[in-house]
Amino acid sequence: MAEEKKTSTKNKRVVKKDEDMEQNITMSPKQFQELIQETIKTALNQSKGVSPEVKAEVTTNVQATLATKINNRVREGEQFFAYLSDSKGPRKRIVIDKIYREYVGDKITATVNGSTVKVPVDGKQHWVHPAHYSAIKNKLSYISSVRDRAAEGPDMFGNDVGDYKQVRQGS
Amino acid sequence: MPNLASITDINRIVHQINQGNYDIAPEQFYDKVLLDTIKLGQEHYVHLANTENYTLPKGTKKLQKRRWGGLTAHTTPLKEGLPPAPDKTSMESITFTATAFGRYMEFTDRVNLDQIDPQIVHYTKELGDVMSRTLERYARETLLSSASKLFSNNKLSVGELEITDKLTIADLRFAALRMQRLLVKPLSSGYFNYICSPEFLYDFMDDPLVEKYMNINQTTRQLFDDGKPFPMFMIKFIPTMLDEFYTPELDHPGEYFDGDDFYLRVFAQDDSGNTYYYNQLGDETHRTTNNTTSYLADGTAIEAGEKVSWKIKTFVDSDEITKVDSDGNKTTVTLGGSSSPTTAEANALVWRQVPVHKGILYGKDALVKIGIAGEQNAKTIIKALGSAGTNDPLDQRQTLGAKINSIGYGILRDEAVVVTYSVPSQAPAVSGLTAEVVKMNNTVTDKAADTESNTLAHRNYTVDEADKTKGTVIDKDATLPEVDQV
Repeated sequence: MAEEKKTSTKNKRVVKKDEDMEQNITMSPKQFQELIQETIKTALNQSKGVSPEVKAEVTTNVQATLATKINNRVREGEQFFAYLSDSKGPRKRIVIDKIYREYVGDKITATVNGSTVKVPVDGKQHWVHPAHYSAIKNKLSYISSVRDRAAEGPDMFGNDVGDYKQVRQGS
Repeated sequence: MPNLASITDINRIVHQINQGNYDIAPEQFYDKVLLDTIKLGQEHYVHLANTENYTLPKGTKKLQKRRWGGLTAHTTPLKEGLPPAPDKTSMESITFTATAFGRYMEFTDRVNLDQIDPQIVHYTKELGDVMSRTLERYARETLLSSASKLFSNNKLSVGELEITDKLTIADLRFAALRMQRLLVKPLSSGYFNYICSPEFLYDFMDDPLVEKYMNINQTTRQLFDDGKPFPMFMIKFIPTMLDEFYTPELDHPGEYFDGDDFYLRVFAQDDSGNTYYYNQLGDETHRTTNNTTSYLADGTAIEAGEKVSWKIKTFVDSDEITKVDSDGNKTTVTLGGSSSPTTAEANALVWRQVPVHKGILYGKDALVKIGIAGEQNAKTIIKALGSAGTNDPLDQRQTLGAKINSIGYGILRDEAVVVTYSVPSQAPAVSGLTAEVVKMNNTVTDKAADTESNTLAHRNYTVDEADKTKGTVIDKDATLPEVDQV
């Protein structure tokens, strides 16, 4: 019985470790800023040898820098996301042949600057933002080159071991 | 000077060389020990560090991996005596392909006899090393093909990037957070890896979050010592120079594909250095591929259709360029008339491709390697003199080569790889330097083709023409001179 208890405790510790690794936090930019500010204040207060003036300056500068970065990202990202949600925003038509299913699955996933789309690989036309269009086409272009490369296998030259004239182009 | 013994009968070296023209004191000493070939060290081979390996049985070229879906928990209670609606299955599959790679070189028998350096030994080693770099390059191309992109400064394509568009730690932190939300696990080290260039790490020191870290912790860690970056926010930084700047004859960092056509993003600076101009070159008139086998500066042969060249355009009136001033204000300038700059001024600027640096952030389930068991490693193949049988009847030809019979890479989950695009602050100044250093001073690739009439003077036939017996033509009607009879 004692051994069973020990085993179950060990399992619980393992489960706790997995939970810690996979824990995610979702918050708004403002909450994020406040969290950073509190973190910095706590860290500075616990740091030895840092004068109060430096602590105040660091807190202000870092907070301002982070706030600026976050605001810029949100503002510029808003334009991109506005295009995505606007049905009249820029779109390009894309058709992905079913032949690509064996390489990417039923849907191809494309992410640009955090915005993800999943486009069905069904041979029908779909409309995506030009940035996603470019990412998807790049992926398909690479898959095509891999298929072409694999198609030009050793059979291309037949059994020409030692026959240098035939295998060397332009001789 | 006292009159010592005569030197008339002494064998003096000075007499032998100056008057006798003895060639017995050559000016140079040919040291047989070669200098190290200038190339990247093994520490730059970083793309294959965390691949998952799958083997194929012989006779197959493709591997299919399948993933079965899970089920969602719900709390609808069970009705007494009534079973719930049965659940269904879900599955997806993905296929990877293996292929073969190989290179070879051919030499004559005189390479062993007529010169000093061990060329065969050197190139045997080099062919083995180039196969390692081939796999690194293939793995990098595969990772870069991921459809997850992150552009610095919220740009949407390479065609919008500018010289000041640096990637920051905050951007990578955001990408890592997204990967966690997409259930992409870190690697076994507990980190996501970010393969980056030294130029990115140069800007690492000035990043606001790094500065904050150093201020709070009152430490520079080893950054100020050996420049090695420390992990931050579950991201480990792996520098490499085995990127697009190492092979500028094959890769163009400013080139991009918008889904339909290829473009090259170029830029120029005015004399003050405060204003930048940008333009996109289209592929219709400025991009060409080789139509015959061509050779790189180091002798590498590139098959027809595999080498891309871009030509910087000559601007004409009505062409448009983008002008960005020192405050970051952008304007579109239509060249011609009284435009600033004028068309002639625009053509006088030095246009270069924008040095776009690509980084790769990845976690578990990113890169997969497949290949037939036992055939995934490079093999050196040496065909000695005469091994071609009757095709080489006088043992005059030998070849050495390297081959990998079966290798393939693929991305298991697109969400597990994020490709970043940025222009680090020092990229315009230093990124093009490596290629110049690797290029050798002497090469035969840009010289006239070797022909059968090409000879070395010392191999010429040494018998005087006058001493050769040509034989006599017997003319039956010839009149012999009279001989006096004794």
